[in-house]
Amino acid sequence: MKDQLPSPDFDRSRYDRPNQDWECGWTCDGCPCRIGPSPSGTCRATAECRPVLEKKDGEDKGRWRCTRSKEHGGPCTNGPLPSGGCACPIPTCQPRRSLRNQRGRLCVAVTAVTLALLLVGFFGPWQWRFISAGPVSSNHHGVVFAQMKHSWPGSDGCGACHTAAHGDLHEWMRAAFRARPGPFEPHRLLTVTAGMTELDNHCLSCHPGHRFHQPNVTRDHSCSACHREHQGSGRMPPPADTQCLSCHGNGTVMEASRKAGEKLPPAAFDYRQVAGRQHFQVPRPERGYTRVFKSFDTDHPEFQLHAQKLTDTNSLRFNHSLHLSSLVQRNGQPLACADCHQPAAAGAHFQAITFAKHCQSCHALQFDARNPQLRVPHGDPVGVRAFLRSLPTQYADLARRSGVTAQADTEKFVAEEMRLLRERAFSGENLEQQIFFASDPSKQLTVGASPGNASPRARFAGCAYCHDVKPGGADGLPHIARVFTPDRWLIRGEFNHAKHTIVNCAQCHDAASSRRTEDILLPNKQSCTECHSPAGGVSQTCATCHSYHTVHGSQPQTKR
Amino acid sequence: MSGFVRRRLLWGSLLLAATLAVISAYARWAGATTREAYLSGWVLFGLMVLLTGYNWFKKIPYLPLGRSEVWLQFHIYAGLFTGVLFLLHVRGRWPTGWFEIVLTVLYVLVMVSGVLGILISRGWPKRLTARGGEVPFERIPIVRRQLREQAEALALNSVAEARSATIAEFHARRLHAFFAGPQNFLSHVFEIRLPLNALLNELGDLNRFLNEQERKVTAQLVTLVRQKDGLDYQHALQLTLRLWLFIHIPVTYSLMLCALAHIVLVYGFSAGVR
Repeated sequence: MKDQLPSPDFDRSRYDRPNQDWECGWTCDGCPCRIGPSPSGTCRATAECRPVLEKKDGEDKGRWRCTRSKEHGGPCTNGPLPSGGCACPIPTCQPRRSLRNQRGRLCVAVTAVTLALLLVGFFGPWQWRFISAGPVSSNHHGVVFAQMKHSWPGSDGCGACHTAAHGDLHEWMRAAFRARPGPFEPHRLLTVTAGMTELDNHCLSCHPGHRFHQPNVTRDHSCSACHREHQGSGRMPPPADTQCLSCHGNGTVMEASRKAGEKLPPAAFDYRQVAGRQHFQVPRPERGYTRVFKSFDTDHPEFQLHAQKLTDTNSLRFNHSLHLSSLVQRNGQPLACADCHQPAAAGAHFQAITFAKHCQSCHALQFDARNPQLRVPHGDPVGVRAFLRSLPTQYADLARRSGVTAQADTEKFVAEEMRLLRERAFSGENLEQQIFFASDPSKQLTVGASPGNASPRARFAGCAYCHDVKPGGADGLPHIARVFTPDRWLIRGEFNHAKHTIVNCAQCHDAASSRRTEDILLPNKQSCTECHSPAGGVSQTCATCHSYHTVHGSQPQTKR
Repeated sequence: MSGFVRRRLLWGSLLLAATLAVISAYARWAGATTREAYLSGWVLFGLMVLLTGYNWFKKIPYLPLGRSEVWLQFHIYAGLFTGVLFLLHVRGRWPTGWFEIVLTVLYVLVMVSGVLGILISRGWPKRLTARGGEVPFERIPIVRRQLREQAEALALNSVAEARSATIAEFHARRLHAFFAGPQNFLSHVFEIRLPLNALLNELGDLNRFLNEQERKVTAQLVTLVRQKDGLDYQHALQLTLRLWLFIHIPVTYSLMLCALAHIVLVYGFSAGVR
């Protein structure tokens, strides 16, 4: 039906007032009276007119005349009653509220219901659950917290952090006006610093000291500025970069930190070791970590290992290139990185490299090619000396393990082996010296074994082949430098290998060309920013690598 | 360029500029030393107070507060701007606390009802004009009564004139309820003509049993049915144009109360932290 309907006929001169609170009850029936209800909503209908008495000259009684207006039909045919009343009474109605009035009443009702529900919510049995801005993070709930929260006001332990939870509405209001900046200090919202607040002070009741960043921090940073609670029951979200950059992106703050750092003893900056971890010790830069920067991919300082061209100080001689070449094989295959660097349980880091697990299978320390079962013990020069001095016993024991049972045969075997040994080493002392100090793998093995030996094991040139062995130890023993193989190189950042398995080892670690122990095979910053940058599309937030809460100094610092 | 387009461009540009300004300011302040959530919260609350006041400004016309038309434009575009502020204030995440969920739901209700209200206020008058049969909302019952009386008269007269009660019976069975009050509210709102077509088809089918005299009456009844349907259309749309305020305004007051409570809670329990 596309044709437009004509407007129906109606009296356009009449003007309805929808703003009035009441309308005639007959309206819905289509015949509202012309008088309409009173402002209070009572029907005022009486009759259609109020007759007037007209007296002509000389008349005593006069004549009642209908006064109904022309607009409403003009004088009625019946005329007024003899008593002067109108003969057309209007039936009374029950006035009804206008739409506008109904809407107003609904507003009042909804407001009242809201107020009531708020009162129930704020002061009812679910008070704290209703008020709470959401579940606290997993860092702040659990068995321990469940036991502790009953000691704090508020059924859910809100009082542990919120002073307002210690009281009623009055206390809430007091706390609100005690807040800095307060409700009537909007001008301070723009200029206020990230200093400690009343809520932050509650954090310190469980996390005392506020001493978990660099010692030269010039002001305590608000805990809650970084750690936003009530964001969900999972782990607390990491702090935003803006929090870190509020200091590290601010030249004034960094300069103040640099000056503060100059007044502190160097020991205050020592990275406190975590038990069981071997950290590579990085010397503190002259200006500390106070360089101003804005983002990782642009102006973040180069990793200290590369910026200061640091070298590995490990005394163990190790040639990555050789071990990854085809010269060294295992089960007919060249070695791979994963043959030695095996992930730890969590996968983030690698198991520590040990002789027994990672070296011994090839470097078995076999000093006698005729008897490869005999191996020099590893780890202690005293043990080596004791082993060498007990060689007749070792050979006798070997004979028995080989099935020689007769005493005479055993003695004959021992005598023969000892004779051959003396032919090569001349004396026991000389043998010990060769075992400890020989280091040239190109020469004949210390005792007997030849390069053409069928054994796939690496030749044992002597302890000094791998270790830094110097004379001058106790009891005439040599001094073998302690091996220090760090398992953490970037102590100020955390690197999770498990998250980087899509990248080949060689893409970051140039091990194949490294011949010296001194080479630190860690990638530089540019290698990281290939992915960790806006162009690379991988997160480059501060919290991706760093934790604010690093521990420094061997002793707790004094409160500033 | 018509005044309407110029006005829309002006307010739209203002809204866009304010949105860009507040987003860039937020990106800058979201850093270090400002309480951006407090800032956005106060601006949002202040704007909501102004928006709520629009209903009151109209009630005090004697105060020199400017033209209501300007206030309406401000109400619409500032209302849309609160959406930007709200998203920034909640950091684009759905809240997890009960009270905050209540607050968010109330805001969404006000926002959605407001947007729907402005959409139908702008679009539906054109529908009403296109359909025709326009009549002031308050006069609809009177016109409906006139149509009902005309239909009843036609049905009654047809008995005497055509000596047949077929039309009268049909009226009693089918048309009486149709003319008695507003019908097919949802069908009219969603522009569905099925109920009208069904009734007209029934009237058409009735013609097979009628004589010539009665068919003339039926033709008049069809006209009345169309007029009544048009009247119902006017009623449905004009009523909806008024009813959306039954959600928008009461929920606004509820929202303002909760927002006040939210401010007390925020300052009381956060002690000024971010």
